[in-house]
Amino acid sequence: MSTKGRILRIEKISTFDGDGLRTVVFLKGCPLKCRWCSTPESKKSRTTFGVSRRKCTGCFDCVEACPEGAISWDMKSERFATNLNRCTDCRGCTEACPTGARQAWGYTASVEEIYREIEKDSLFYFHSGGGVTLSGGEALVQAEFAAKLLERCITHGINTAIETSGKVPWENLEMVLPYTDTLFFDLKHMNEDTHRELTGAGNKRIIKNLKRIDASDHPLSLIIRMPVIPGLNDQKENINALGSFSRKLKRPVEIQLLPYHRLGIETYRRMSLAYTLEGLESPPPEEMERHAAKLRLMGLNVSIGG
Amino acid sequence: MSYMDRIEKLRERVVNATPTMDIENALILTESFRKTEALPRENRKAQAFKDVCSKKTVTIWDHELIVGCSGKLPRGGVLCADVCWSVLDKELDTISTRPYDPFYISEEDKKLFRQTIKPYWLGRSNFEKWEAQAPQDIVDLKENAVIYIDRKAVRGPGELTPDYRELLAEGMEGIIDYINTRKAEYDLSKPNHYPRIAYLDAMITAAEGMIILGRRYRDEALRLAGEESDPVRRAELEEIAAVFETIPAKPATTFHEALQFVYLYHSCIFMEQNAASYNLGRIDQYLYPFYEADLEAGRITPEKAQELLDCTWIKLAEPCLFQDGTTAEYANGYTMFQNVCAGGIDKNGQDAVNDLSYMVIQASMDTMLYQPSLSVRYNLSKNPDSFLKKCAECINTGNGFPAFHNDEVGIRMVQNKGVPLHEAYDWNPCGCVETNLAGKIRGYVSADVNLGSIVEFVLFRGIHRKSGKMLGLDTGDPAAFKTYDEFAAAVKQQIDYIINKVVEANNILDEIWDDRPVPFISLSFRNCIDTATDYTHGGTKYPCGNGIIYDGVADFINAISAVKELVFDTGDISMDRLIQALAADFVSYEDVQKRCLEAEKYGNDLDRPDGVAADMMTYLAVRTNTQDSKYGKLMSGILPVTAHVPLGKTVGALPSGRNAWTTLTDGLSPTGGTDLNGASSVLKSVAKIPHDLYASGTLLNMKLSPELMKEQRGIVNLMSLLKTACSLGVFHAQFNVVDKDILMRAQKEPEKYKDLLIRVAGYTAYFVELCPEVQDEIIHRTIQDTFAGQRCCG
Repeated sequence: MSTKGRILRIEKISTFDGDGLRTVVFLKGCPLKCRWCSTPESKKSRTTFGVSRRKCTGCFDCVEACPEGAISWDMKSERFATNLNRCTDCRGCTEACPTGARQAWGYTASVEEIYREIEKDSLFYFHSGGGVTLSGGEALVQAEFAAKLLERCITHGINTAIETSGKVPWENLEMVLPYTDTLFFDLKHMNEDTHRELTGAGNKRIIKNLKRIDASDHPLSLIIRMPVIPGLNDQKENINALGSFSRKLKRPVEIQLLPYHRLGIETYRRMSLAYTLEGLESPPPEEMERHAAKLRLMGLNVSIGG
Repeated sequence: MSYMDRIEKLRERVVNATPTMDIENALILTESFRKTEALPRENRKAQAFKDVCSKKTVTIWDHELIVGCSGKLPRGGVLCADVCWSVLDKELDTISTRPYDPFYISEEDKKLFRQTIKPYWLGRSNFEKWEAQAPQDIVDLKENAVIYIDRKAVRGPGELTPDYRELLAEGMEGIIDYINTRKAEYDLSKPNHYPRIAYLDAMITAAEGMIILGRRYRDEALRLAGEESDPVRRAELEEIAAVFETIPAKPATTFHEALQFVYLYHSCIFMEQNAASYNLGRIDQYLYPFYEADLEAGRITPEKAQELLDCTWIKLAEPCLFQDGTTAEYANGYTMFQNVCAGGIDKNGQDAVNDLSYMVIQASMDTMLYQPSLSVRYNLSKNPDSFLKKCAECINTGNGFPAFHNDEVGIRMVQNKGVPLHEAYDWNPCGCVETNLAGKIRGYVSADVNLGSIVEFVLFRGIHRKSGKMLGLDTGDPAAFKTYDEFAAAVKQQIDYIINKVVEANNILDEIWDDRPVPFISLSFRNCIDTATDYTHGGTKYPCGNGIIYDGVADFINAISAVKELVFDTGDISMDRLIQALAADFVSYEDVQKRCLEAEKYGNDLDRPDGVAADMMTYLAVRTNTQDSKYGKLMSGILPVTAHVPLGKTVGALPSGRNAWTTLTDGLSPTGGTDLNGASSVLKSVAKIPHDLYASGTLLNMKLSPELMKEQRGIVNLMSLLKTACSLGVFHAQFNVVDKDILMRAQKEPEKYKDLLIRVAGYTAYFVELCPEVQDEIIHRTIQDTFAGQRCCG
C-alpha cells in the first residue's frame, strides 16, 4: 500500500519559502506550541474544526448531522463544541452547514495524489525556477511520506525545499535530506529555557540536528530562519547568539528574518482558542532592518522575508 | 520646453475636453450626396469624402507636432450619416444625459441635424434597412438578448489594418499612378468592365481628397507660423508645413513625415466611415527604417523620436466612439480600439524587436491614456527577455497596457483565416484581441451569443424564462436524459440552432452592408485595386465571414459541469429537483443552491469542469468556423467587451448556483470568487479552451494577489507567469493586482467586494469576512503601488 500523509492544504504559485513560483504542501501535526503560531489548525495531526462566528446562525444542522453525537452546544462559551474523540471524520457536519460557517482542516492523501497535484504546475516551475516546498505543521513528523514525495519530485526534475522546526529525531531528517535542494531551518530562540517557555519544548535537539546537517555532505542550501516576535525573541543577546552560532557553521548559510504577523487570529477565533499575543503588533520595517544590519556586521548573509 | 512638458500640456487638453457630437462632416457629406444622385454609389461616397477633405475645419492646436483630426472637435463623436443617422435621431434629446458614453450636443447642431441631415437620409441608412429586413424570430432573439447583432449596423464595421508600409513607400500620387496602370487594363467596350473602371475612378477621387487635406494642413501651418511671435513655436510650425510639402502626396522620407502620414491617413479613415478598431498595426516595424535612416543621418535623436511618438499617442486618445446607447452598454468607455503593436517576428520568422519596440511601449508609459490600445506580440522562443521585462514594467504602471498576446497562437489564428504561414508571420492584434493582417484581411465580428441562454433552453425545453417565449429548441424533457452524454448532446443541438439563426441574420446583414463601400480605405488594400473591388465587397486578398462572440463562458462551463457532477456523476440532486430550484431562483431551495455553488468550478485546474470547457468550447468554435457565408467561413471569438453585463440581465438561475438576472462572467475569466487556487490554476484551466480555433481572439482578465508582485521579484514573477501562459497556449492576458487602495475600499464598502479573495502565506479567505485587525494587517503588508488598472480591453 502506498504511503499516506495527513495534509492541511496545498498552496500554489507561492513566492515565499524558496525560489521562483512554488507549490507549498502544508502537512498536519507539529511537536511545538509556539505562542505566535499563525496556523493553529496545523498543530494536530487529526482533522480539526472551526466555526466562523460571523456566518454561524446557530441552526443546529451540524449537531443533527453528526451520527456520533460529537457536536454539542456549549452554554458557557456560546458555541458549538466538537468532541474529537467521538469524531470519525465523516464530514457530515460541514456538508450540512447551510452557510459554510463550519469548516474542517485536514485530509489524508497518498504520495501519488499529492505528486499529481504538484506536477500540475511544472511549467510554472520551469519558467520561474520554482518547485515544491514542504511546510507545516512540522513536515518531518511525517518523514516517510515527506521523503517519498520529495524523491518523486526530485527524480522528475522538480526543485525541492523543506521548511522545518528541526524538532524531530535525526532519523527523520536523514530520510529526507538526500531529496532536498533547500532546507529552511528555524531557530526560534537560542536559549534553552526561553525556547521552552515560548514553544513548549527545549532547543537542544534542534541545535544538535542543525550541527549534524552542517557537518554532513548533503549538497543542499541551508537557510536559517528566525521569526522576529517583538519582546519575545528580538532581544540583543538573542540576535547576537544567533549570529555567533551561525558564524561557526562550516557551510555558507543565509539567515532569513521573518517579521511576526497576526494573520492567524481569525483561525484562533474560529477554533475557539485563546490567542495569547493579542495586541502585539508586527515589527516595523526599520526594526527588521536594524536586526539584519547587526547580523550583517557579523559577516552574515541576511535577508528579510515576507 | 522639455519633451514631457509638451506631452503634459497636450494630454491635459485631451483629458479636459467633453465628448461632443460633431456633425460637420455629416453636413458636408449630405450636401455632397444631394448633388451626386446620378452617380454609382462608390463614386458618390468617394466624392463626398473628397468634399469633406476640401471643406472641413482644419485646426492645428497649440504645442502640437503631429496634427490632424477626423472631425472639427478634438473629442468629437463623428456622425457617419450615411450609415447611421437614425441612431442620433432617436437619441437627439437623450444622448447628452444617457448613462453610457453621453455626448454633448448643442441646440444649434440639433436644429441643423433636423433640418438638413434627417430629411435627406430618412429611410436610407444601414440601420433602418436592417430594422426593416430582420425576420421576426431574429428580432425576438435580439430583443431578448439571446443574441446581440446590431453592433455593426449602428456604425461602420472597423476591425481593419491598412498596409502602412506600402502607403509610406508610395505616397498617394504613387497609389494613383498604380491605379491608373491597372485601369488601363480594362476596356469600356467589353461587358462588365465599366463598373471596374468607375470604381477605380472612385479610388482616385478618394486619394485626391487626402492630398487636398494635406495641403490644407500645410497652408494652416504656414498661416499660423506667419502670426507666431515665439520663434521656437514658429520653427515648429514651419517644420509641420515642410512635412506636408512631401506627404501625403509623395512617399515619406523621414520619421516625422512617416508618423504624420500614418496619423493623417488614420484620421481620414474615420472621416470616410466612423467605426471602432481601425488599427495602426506593427508600427515598430514599418517606422523603423525611417528612424534608422534619420539616426544615421543625424536628423533625429532618440529623445526627439520619442516625443513625436508620444505626440501621436495623444492624438490617438482624441476621437470618441459614437454609437447608440444600447451598443454603448455592450461596449462602453468611448474606446476606439486603435491598436498599435510592438514585438513579434519578422518575415523570416526571426526576432523583430528593435529600439522602436521599446519606444512604442514607453510612449504608453509616458502618456498614460486609454488610447491607443497598446498590444505586444510576444514570441516566447524568439523575443528577448529585455522586451518581456519592458512589457512587465508597463503593466506595472497600472495603465492597463500592454494587452499581452502570445505570438505563436496569433499566427495560428491568422492561418485559420486562410492565410499561408509565411504571410501569417506578419499578423497584428486588432481592436481588442482580434487578429488581423495589414492590407490583406477583411472580416469583422458581427454578433454576440449569450451562452447562458443555451443552457436555459436545454433545461426549460426552449423556453426563455425572462420573456416566457419559446426562443430555443425543444430538446426533450431533461429529466428523461439517462446519461450526461444525452444532456451534452442536447446542449450541442441548442448551439447548432442558435448558430444557424446567426448565420441567417448574417446573410441578410451581408447584403445590407454591401451598401456601404469604402473606396478610401480600399486604397490601402492592394488586392482591392488589383481586382477593382471594394474592401466591403470582398476585394481583399483574404476575405473572411463575420465573427461570432461567445459571452458567459465561465457560467456556461460551470452550469454544464454542475449538471454533470450533481445529476449524473454523484446523483446527489435529481434533474427534476434541480429544475424546480432553478425555476424558483433557488428560493426555498437553498440546499440545492449550496450544492450548486460547491460543485467544481472552472478556473481551478480540475478535470471535470475543464473537460467540459475543452469539449464544449471546441464544439462551438468548430461549428462556427465551418459555416459558409458570402465572404467566407465565419469566425469565432471570446471577447465580451462589456456585453456580459446586459446579457446576464435576461438569463435565469443557472446550475452553477448563479442567481437569475445577474451579470455573466467576462471573457475567459473564471467567475469571481470561484477560483481558489491562484493564478497558475486559472491559467491551466483557461488553457483547456482551444484558443487557436477562436480566430477573432480570446480575452482573459486576471487578478493577481498582492504578494505575488511584492518588491523586485514582482516583475520577475510576472515575466515567469507570462512565459508560462505562452507555453500553455493561452492567447491573451491582461493583469491587475489587488492593491492597497482596493483593500481599503473593500474595508469601507464590503458589500461591493464580496468576492475579493486574499491569499497570504498559506491562508486563503474572502477579505470582507476577516476581522478588522487582520484586514488592517493585510493592508499593511500590501504593496502601495497601484498595479495594472481595470481597463478591460474589448
